Amino acid sequence: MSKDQSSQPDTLSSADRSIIDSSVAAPVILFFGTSIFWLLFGSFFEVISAIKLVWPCFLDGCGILTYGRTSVVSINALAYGWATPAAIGIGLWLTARLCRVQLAKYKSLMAAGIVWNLGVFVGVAGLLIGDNTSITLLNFPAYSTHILLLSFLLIAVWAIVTFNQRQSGTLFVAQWFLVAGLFCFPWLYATANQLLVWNPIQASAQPAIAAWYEGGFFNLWLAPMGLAAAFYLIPKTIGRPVNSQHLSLIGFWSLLLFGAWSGTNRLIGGPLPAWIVSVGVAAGVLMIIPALAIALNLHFTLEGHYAPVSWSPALRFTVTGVSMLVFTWIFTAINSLPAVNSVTNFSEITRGLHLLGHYGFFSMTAFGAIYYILPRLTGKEWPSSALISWHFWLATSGVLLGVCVLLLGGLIQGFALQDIGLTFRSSIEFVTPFRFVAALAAVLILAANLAFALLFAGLHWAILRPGTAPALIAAREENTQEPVAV
Amino acid sequence: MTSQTPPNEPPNDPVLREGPEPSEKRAPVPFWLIVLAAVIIFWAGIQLALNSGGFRADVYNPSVVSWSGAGAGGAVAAAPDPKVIGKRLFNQNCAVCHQGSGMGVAGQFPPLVGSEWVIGGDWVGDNHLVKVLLAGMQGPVQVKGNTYNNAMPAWAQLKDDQIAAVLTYIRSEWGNAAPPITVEYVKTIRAATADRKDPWTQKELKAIPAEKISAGGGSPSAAPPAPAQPAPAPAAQAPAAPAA
Amino acid sequence: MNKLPLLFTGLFLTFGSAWVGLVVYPVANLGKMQPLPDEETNGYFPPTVSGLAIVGQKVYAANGCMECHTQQVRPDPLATDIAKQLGKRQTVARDEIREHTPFLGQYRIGQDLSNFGTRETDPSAIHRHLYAPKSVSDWSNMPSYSYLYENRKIVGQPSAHALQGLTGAFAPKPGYEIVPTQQAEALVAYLLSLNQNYPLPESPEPTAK
Repeated sequence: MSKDQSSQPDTLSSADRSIIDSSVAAPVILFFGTSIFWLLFGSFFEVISAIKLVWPCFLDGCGILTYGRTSVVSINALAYGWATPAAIGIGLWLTARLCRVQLAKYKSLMAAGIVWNLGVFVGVAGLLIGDNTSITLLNFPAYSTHILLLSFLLIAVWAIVTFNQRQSGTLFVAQWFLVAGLFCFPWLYATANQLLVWNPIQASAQPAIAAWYEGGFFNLWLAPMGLAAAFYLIPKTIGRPVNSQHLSLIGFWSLLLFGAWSGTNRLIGGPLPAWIVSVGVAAGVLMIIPALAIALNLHFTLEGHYAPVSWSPALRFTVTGVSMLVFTWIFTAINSLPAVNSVTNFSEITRGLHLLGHYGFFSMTAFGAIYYILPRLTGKEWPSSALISWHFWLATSGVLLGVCVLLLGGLIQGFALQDIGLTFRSSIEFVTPFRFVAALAAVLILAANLAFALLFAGLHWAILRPGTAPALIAAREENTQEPVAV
Repeated sequence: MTSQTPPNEPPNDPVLREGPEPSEKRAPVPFWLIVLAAVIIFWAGIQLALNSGGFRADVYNPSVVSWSGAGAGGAVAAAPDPKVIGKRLFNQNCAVCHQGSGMGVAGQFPPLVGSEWVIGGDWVGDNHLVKVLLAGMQGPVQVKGNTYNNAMPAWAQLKDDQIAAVLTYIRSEWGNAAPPITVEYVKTIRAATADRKDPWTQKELKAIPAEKISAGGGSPSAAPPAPAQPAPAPAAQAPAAPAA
Repeated sequence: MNKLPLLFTGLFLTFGSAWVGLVVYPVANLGKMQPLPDEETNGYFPPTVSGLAIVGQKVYAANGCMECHTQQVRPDPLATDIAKQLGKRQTVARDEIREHTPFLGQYRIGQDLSNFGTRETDPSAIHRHLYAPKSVSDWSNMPSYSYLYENRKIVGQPSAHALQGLTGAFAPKPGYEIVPTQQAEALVAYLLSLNQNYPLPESPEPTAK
């Protein structure tokens, strides 16, 4: 294809797509496959931690499996073993597709994938033997984060090269999000590790940077990568253009600005100068603007064409994920108000919002993207649409149940913690039944992830009957004008 | 990318059924969203202006600033209570040997609770106490009927008000109830013994007549050491524990 | 917005502004804090931490204590932390300067520990609590840290460090004793050192009503 065609929306033939896809297949499958292993590993430890919260004597008296280590292992294995490689895999495929170039430096990406997983393995092992930095989402010891950053730099170099070679004239909105995520993450990760882990600065300056990183990891890395997938898959599968470039611009730039500044809203009343906290509060509330802009844009795109959401796994997971992102940001905005935060801080609500954002939004969106991408890379259909349906309902019910009980239980716990007339013991007794249900939700999520892993395995090995037709998870109406969208 | 190089294999089914690559329309932004965004931005600006403590690096609690308008500080300016300072000084300097409880360590460090050296005995006076603190003490010493043989370092590096504070503290804590030692009294003793650098011994101190700060409130009337009453006969080697 | 340079410029401005405000500013303004000299005592605020307590910080981090315990007292009138006697004043940046990592924490699954050293001063009580939390309060949801203790047969004289006062199901078998390891001793030294009970000008104590 030539440059003069590039301004037209679709200059890619099926043959072109096929060439692009086969050039990225190996590294993308490597990233997805290993990330699914860590997904299972992390959610298994999440279940152990959730049970330990209710029954502290469960697996008690063993240093490796004390709650303080299992919960840290689960959060970090999910963030760096599952979410980040999944985001990278989605990013590789989307970059190649949207820039319309074949993958360059294929071997360096395979090396990056292997090195990344080595880093995660070393980090998790370090956490289990007690090498914990005690900084949320930066718990991995220094010797593993060096490996992770090296791997990511290989990927970033590749991404810059690919963007330079791009054949597409215009930058589509999904590409903005890709560039933003791939640009912000190494900056975030290198800064935070340098100042907090490798050569720690004086502890009095650390909380602001740790909060900046924790907010940035979600708002400037997971959110842009998930939204890149959503802004590609939704218009692509239903065959309609994104509704409004103006809304895209508002959503993108407000996310970048406010997302970068929010983060210190989790330290209201903490040991930070008042203005830093106030900026975090303002930015946290202002996140309502990107939330609404993005939600409206995708809603107007889908309006009147919601039917494929019922039968297309990719679409159903993605739309569910993005709606949970909107709720994550709106709840976080409410939770950023000092009057609310003084009650809810340090309660289970923090855990509920983490679950809603990291699993409800990012994992669901990533599942949707993987359901779309893998058949194209492997040339095989998903083996069992019933299992996909199980995956969806287990995951959705697990997230919704978990988030509901953690928000409600956290509110009650928060009031008990704040009430001068109640002892600390009351806060534990009030919240324990909710933690019990949250443990059930963790089991549901583990079951959902097992279903997903089984599907992934069935795509590659003959453990399930191979799929022969597009995997539709609901009946597609006869005579419908809608595309297959699978 | 060009299509001149043919793919190794024909496109697979999932690729073949794909729709065109996505594009973007330019629909207008809903008016209510712009209004809502403006309202939120306005609110954020107000709350930032009100709750940022003047954007100072040393203001942590915005409500303190908005009330007093002076930022941090006010509460610390109040004159500190000598007993509080004395306790802090004691915990930093003295508690290692004499213990936080003031009970000392049997056989090694003498107790301060009920000690005649602290609250005064029949031949031990307040002047002795201050002298011990200024120049230290060594050799055998009788406290509450027990003999100790160890070294107490000199604390001349402490300022007069600090010595007064810590002595006042140990004389009024743990059931001790002796009058405070004043700054002026410490100053007088320090001036009178300025050339004394070696630690005292019990024998030397016994030769110096005892003085008492008047119980009436620690007026420095007892300051001039010379016209003090003659020393009581050094009859008892180890005076009985004074009444509490 | 079709140009990559434009996109990068925007990213630099938005992301970079937060980087300057939330990374560069704290490093410059909070990163070189000195302890305040205390003229009354020639000491410093916050006071120096002993060597064993510094080792204990690492034990605290290694076992993820921060997952359940906060170490920050929020100010009045925002929160009731001070009324609940978690501390006498707000925790501020200068309180952290002796730490390697500030263990602020995100959850109060367990109690706040900012001033634990002022509430509990008996090392053997803390050892009992770490070894068998339910021996101290039967409703405790704290896991046992028995792996920081050695359950060993008494040979010759019983150890002077052995845990005292364990009763019922928590007591060692006759002829055995529970002895803290170096890690447990260090952790207890660290917990005892948790004390923000000194004045700092930037964190005035709220005046009593």
